Amino acid sequence: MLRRALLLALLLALVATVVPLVGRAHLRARPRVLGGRVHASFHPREGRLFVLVIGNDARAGNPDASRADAIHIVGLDTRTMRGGILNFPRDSWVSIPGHGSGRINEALYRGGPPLLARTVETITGIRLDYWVMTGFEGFRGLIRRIGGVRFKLHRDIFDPTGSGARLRAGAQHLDAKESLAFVRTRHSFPRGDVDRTTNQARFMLALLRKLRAEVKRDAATLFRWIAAGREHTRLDMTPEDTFRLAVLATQVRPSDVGNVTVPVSVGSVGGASVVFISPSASSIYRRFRTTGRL
Amino acid sequence: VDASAPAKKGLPPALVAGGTAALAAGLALAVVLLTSEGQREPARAPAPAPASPSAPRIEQARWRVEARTAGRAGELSRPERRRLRGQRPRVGALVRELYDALFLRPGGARDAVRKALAPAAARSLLRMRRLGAPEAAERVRTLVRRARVAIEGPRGLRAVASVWVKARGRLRGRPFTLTHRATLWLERSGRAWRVIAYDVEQRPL
Repeated sequence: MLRRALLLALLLALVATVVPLVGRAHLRARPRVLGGRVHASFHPREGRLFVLVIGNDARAGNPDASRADAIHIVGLDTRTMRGGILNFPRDSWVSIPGHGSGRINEALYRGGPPLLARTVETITGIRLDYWVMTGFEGFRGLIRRIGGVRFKLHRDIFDPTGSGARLRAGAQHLDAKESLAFVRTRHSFPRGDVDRTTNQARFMLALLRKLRAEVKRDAATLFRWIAAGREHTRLDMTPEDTFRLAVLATQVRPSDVGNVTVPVSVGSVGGASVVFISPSASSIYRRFRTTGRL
Repeated sequence: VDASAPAKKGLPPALVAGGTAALAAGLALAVVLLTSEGQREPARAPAPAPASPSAPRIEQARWRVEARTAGRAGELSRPERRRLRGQRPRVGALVRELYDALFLRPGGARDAVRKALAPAAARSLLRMRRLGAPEAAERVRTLVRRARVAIEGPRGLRAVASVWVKARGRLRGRPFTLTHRATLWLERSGRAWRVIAYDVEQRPL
């Protein structure tokens, strides 16, 4: 009897020990934020740096079969500390290398961040240095860790069936849930997805503003941001690169970063609603490519 | 040295002879070192002579350097904490040397900047002409010299120093006051720390 009780206790202890470990291993295997180099060799050209920022539509983790809802190139001229965010509506009809034509967000589904990066490089002629990607869970987690963001909304946003946003106009503090709702909202805006992508870049600038304000108050905060980021992030870059990029970010004024969405016209392909990138975008690409600014 | 005395107590003569030789060598080495120190002294740069025999020595503000650990400070093991504590004086010394050169020895500021900063950062900092006290400044007196150093755990490879210096002096007979605030971002390679990036605000600049 005693032996049986001991065996049962041992079994329970084993289950109690192993189950949480399995859970953690699962989390480790699917980090909330992923990042890496686009090319094996890193050659920032004349101080210009370009990072592809991707937000996918996965509710949890970063599964392979997800589509990109947010696609931005963040560029910076490290000599002048001026930069820009170039935004692509997710329904942009483009040529995807090796896969014919399709919506730009399909590139992520078909070949992950490397294919999306190649697609964006083909469109713009800009050689990307890094990519960073997160989904809903990662975005919420990061915003929660940094304590939310102060943001000024130009209008009321009420989108209960889409993003779930119920936000009043004016300056306010957005928590993780509200932030995600805001960057997902498109039904409340006249230009739908085009306005959404512009708003996502505005939100990134609000994050930059918060980072700078906190670092100005206490410079060591940057290490907390890096540690928080690393906790749920898998970045294919060295800690030195991460540190230097983070330091660079603290030295960029949000007012010196342009926020431009590629000009598009609305159309349809095979009955599906898409947007076509205007030929006038080529001059924007050229300027961004050569100066790192917008 | 009486080599025979310990031998009488039973120590082997070879050991006694060895000990004596070692003692003699130690004494000789000490003499050589002392002599060479004495010879090196005149080769040092002479201490700056006061402007006039009656000029009093200028009292400088005491350096106040606070150091702490940043990042995952709560999860550090004892050896990690000890290792990080060992880096604090090194970062503090770098900051003190750099700022003492910028404010109190403007003539030697270029060398100090090149020594403390990574090449790209040094080039960029040296392009700022009026950093620290002007070269022609006289009677510079620092009123505040403070630095807050945070070293990232657990390996202590990166750090940040927030520096605040306030100084007064005279330039071509006119008094001036400088307020300098800077954030220095540092990386460690081996034992050597270097500033890789900075953010400086000095008024008036």
